[in-house]
Amino acid sequence: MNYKTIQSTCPYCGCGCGIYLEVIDGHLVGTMPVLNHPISKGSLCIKGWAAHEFVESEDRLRRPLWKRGANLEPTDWDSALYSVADRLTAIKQQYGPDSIGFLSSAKCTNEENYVLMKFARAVVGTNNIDHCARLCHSPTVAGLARAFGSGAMTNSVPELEEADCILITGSNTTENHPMIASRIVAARDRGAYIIVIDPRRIHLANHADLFLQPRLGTDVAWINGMMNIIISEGWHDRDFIRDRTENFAEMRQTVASYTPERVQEISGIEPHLLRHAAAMYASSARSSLVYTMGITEHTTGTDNVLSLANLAMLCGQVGKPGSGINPLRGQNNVQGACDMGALPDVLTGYQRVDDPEAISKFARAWGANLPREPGITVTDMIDAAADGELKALYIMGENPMLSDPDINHVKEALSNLELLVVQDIFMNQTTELAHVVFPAQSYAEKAGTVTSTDRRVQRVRKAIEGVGEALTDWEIFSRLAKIMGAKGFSYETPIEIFEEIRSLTPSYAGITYFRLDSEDLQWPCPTEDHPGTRYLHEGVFTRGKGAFTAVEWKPPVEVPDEDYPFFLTTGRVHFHYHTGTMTRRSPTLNREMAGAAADINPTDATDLGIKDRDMMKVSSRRGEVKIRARLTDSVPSGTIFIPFNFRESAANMLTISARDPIAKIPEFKVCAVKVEKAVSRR
Amino acid sequence: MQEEVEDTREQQARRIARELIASGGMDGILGLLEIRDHQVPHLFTEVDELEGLDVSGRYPIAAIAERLLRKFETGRIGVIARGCDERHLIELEKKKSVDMSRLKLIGLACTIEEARECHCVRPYPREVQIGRSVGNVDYLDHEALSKLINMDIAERRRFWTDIFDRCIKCYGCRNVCPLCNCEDCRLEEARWVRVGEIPPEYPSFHLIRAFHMADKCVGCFACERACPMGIPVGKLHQLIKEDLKSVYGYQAGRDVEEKSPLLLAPGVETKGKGGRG
Amino acid sequence: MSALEISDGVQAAGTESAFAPAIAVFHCRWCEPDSQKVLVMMPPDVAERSIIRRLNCSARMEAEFAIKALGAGFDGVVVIGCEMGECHYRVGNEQAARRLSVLAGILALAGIYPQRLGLFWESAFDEVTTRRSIEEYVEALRDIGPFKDPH
Repeated sequence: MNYKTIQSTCPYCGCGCGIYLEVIDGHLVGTMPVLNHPISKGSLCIKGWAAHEFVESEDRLRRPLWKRGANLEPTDWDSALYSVADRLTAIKQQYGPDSIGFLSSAKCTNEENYVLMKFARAVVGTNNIDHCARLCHSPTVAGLARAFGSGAMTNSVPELEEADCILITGSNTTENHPMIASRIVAARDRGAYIIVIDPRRIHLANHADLFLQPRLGTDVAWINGMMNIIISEGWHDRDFIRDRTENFAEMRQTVASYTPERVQEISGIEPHLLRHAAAMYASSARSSLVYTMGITEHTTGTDNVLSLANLAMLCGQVGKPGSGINPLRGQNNVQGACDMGALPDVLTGYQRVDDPEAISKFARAWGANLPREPGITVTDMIDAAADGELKALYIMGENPMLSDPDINHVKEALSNLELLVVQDIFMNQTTELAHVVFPAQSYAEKAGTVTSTDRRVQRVRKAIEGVGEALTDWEIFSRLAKIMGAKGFSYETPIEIFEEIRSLTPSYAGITYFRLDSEDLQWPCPTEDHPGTRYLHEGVFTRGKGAFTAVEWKPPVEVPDEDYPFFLTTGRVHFHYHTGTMTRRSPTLNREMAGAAADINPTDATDLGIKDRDMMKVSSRRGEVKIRARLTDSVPSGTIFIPFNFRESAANMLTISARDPIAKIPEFKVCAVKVEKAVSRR
Repeated sequence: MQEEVEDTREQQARRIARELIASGGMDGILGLLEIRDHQVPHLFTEVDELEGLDVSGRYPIAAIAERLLRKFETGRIGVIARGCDERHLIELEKKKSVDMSRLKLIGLACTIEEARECHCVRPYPREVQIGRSVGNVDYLDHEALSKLINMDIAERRRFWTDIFDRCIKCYGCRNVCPLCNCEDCRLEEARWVRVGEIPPEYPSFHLIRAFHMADKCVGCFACERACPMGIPVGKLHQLIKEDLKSVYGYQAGRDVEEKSPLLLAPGVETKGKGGRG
Repeated sequence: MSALEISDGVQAAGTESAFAPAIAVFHCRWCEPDSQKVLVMMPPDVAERSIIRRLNCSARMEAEFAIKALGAGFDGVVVIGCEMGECHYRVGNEQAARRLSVLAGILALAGIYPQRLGLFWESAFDEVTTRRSIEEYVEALRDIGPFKDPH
């Protein structure tokens, strides 16, 4: 008889819940919550409880594949690795290093992200590295870096319980960050005010004290409106503004025109409700802002984030417990992927590639010449591939064929590449287009670290042996590097990689595997006796003074018109995770939700002759999808919501790739569609 | 004068486990392993592992015992069992889910603090080998339960409707419960509870479970601890247990021969009527 | 599931003063084989919003049927079975009575009026008594009001 449990971190969302993987006879048989875990406190959501189900699936990629004719056929590691090494070298020689791009994975460990970006920079010589954070929190990184000097969540998840007021906007928290919603309801039980501001009546709205429902794409307006009221009433924190910020006057002047009446015209929010929200937020001792994609996934995403930063600084709600600006990161390790420099313009710890001191430090450490010009983003890489400027793309653990906007364009782009290498655990729409596919190990088969949304670095630990011939991602890059004659990739264990990371990254310098075995550590953690940092910007912002930015509201790029009279907004569902590669292979989750449904308001449905569960055809200027209708009044009349998790009704066939000019994030949250009842073929 | 220093519960547990492993009659001892300040269920098979054996945590260990006995057709294991763990196993035995002859219970008595945390009336197993029983305990945390008891029916309706509305259908309450071991769980059947909804269908999800647990719940409160949304499910089960106790004199987990009132006892008054109104 | 088909789209109740409850009725075939006969015992405004299902024995009545019925839009659940001692299967009705009594207790603790559960043990279909029982039950249900969330 045997039975053991291995403590790890859930592979799904950015909450970073502790889980025990239960193992009998070398196989995963279940998961259990970790009783005293700082985030999950003995609970798990349905995905966490099912986190073992996909790992040993029959569908797992077990052998390397390469394209022969029209099909992908199995081959051995050496053949596959050598073929990739040869092709990469040839393309680099012929077209230059910047004709090659890398997409890193927000699901892979810190060690793996680091090795990928080291490979891209030191071996290939390009800064064309990016990952899916581009599509989710790039405005957060850009906006908060500009306002505060650091793009990370300012406070910690457990601290939410200490807040007196929590304002949640653009985050369907109970469905997408359940353990964080858990803190929000706990705070409410303690008497905190909960304000939800969202274009949809989300589940959390029913457990809030105040719910405001603005029109899509009007966030700068209502945020400016709140500030307008706060300033007129004198509720702002004058001391904080004077001592800790700059540029207030310009911002104040801009907000003056956002009267409650004007805000109502733009957003539909009634003045008395806006006042209520402003009063609750401004008058509470500790007020916390929580947000996700509803704020970021717009062409004005960076502006939206800057506006929230303005609001927090206006009321002195940064740099103390239970307050701050709290962007909830999506993936289990998207924070880590950013921290590890899997981005075109920074190395680890946000040290810029165009900072001579930083780049020299890394060049010395790695013994290689490194490129100093920032590279291009994932959205630009797709365009460049379509234009024929990008010749090769190496993708680790990402599925742009489902998660990027305007899928037809993505397909055209990827099909145009001379070399597409994909490293993943399952076949998906992206691997199907690849020239070479490497089978990778899942979170349960390897050791490493991941960083959750509140800067918490945690361990994943190996519970079972790798399936088939799958290798861990850092191992694959190491082998490739050796074949290509590079030094500095002879890692035997992930600990060695982590030691290298922390030697180059001040914010991680004090974190060690040994400490992680018994301590709870959030970066910045500069030395080995530093306890880690719960909340940021205490006393002084990372950039010194916090910077207000005057922001004017701009409408979304594509709004409803005569031809396309509905708003389309996209998002997620609770039971599946992103492109469903893992969750749609989990029986527990599939049982709850086997396929997609689009949310439509009952009034609209009646007008169109659509009943619950009828098939609808939804089309935009980019494409069309057929999808089942779900009648609900959580969406206002005139708006359709489609979750993007389902390949057969891919929401991103419809979305627009128009981007935020600074962060380059696509406007996933707003575009125009028309809706019809689908005609049956029979 | 010689002062006798009593072994701590950990020391007692390790000593007993060591003896059992050394004697060779057991395939392992099921208990809690302390690792990195957390306590996790573990099957101790080697004496050197026993240094990490801890007894201060609480985990529904009966569920794991049941699963091991099901997965492995032969073999015996020792189980370090609190009062609630023993009650779980007795109920599982009633269902014929465990064969108690394959288990050796090593009884662990709870401290008064531990009893209070669980509102536990009987924080000790039948035979205590580890620790010392504190005897029967009055509900020392009356407050939360009294509040519920003293609500009138309309207040109760509002309370439970509001709080069940927070549910995110994690199934945590069911997953941690050792008595919830059905191969085909009714809560997962779409005809009883619509699938894919947050919050799950009311009152189906919670009241179907409450009904199923009525004669099985032994009051360990693992369900309430597992709920991420602060729903006091354990207290609802507790009130239902009190009801069955006062009407039928039934207590789950007391004796394997004690039949559930849902398994008919003829001759008792059966005129259908409501409970408190 | 042959004996039960509940649609989740039961029509709205109407104004407060003329509240017509929707009732899910389950009757044992031994005391009354004809569902129609049971249906016409209810006032017409109630009958048109109610469903009748025939069971082989009241013992076939599961707690789930009642719980699901309440969630699906019904305001009350009625079970008609044989008088104690007259069950075709000896003690099936006693089984049902016990089960439903436990359920009634649970409903009450959850704040749901246990009077929504109407249990009638009738001797080989005594129409007069049954009709009276149902009328009383319906009147009580009108007073209690709809099941759907009051606020």
